[in-house]
Amino acid sequence: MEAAIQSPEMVHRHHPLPQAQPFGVTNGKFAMWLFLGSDGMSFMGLIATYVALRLGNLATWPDPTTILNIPLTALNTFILICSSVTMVKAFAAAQEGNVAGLKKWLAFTMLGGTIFLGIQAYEYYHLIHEGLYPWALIGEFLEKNPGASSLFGATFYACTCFHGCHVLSGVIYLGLTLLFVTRGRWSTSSIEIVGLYWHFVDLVWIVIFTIIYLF
Amino acid sequence: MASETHKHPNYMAIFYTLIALTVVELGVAQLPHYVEGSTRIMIVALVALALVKAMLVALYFMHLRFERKTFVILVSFPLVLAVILIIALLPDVAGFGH
Repeated sequence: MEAAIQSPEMVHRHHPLPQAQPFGVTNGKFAMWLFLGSDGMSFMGLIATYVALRLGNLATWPDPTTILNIPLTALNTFILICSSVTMVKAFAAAQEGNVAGLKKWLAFTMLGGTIFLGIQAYEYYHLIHEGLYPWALIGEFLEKNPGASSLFGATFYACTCFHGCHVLSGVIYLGLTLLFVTRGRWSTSSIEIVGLYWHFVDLVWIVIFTIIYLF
Repeated sequence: MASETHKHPNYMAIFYTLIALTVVELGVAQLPHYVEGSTRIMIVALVALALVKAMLVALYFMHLRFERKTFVILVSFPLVLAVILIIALLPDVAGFGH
């Protein structure tokens, strides 16, 4: 009985303290979700801009499915989903107190993010080489798509690069988390929070891949 | 606390579902090349598939399925704003083509 009274859950339920968690989550997790909510709205703005500009310029919009390398990007999608799985494995290891496993899975998640960025850089290199600039269309690309709107390049790079910057930030965030784990300064909650960020980046990519690459 | 004590969701099952849905998406995207006039069906199917995938990530990988209902409502609110954004852009889109 005494143990039950001392359990923090019981104390919170019956006598809410000033530091109680009204939504049942830690402050850090709450803050990350709020950030993700606002960050999600930034992505929504960019994606909605892409859709609105495309629908408004249907005649001059180049066909993304013939310009973009779909198999390569599908592979990238696969890699990002895999890195989400290694992230949940890292969290599971953290819950079990398995530090070696936690370090291993965090490193694998970082590797997934790094491969994703490498493939995206390769994709950009080829698109720019073919003449798809963020602000203009030139050379080979213009010859193949005469009269194409330069808005495609502008909105394509805006969406995918904004996402790429999130992956880069995520890899750095994971690296810092790994460093703190190595020094013994970590908690299950901190691993869950970095996981929330990483899964969000994966979630946004699922939407971007469908809207920009597959239509 | 609740999220730390619940049983693990089957992460690998979610992973295989996500991969399977991605393969289906790639197949559906090819539909207009084979069936004439199926572009609209393709768009609706692809958006629906993407939404299902996004939901799976949020519910299981981000543990939203195991949070309190009030918290889920709170963090889902940006989705309401997304709908408002789409409605706000509709007149623009309708006016462009003409």
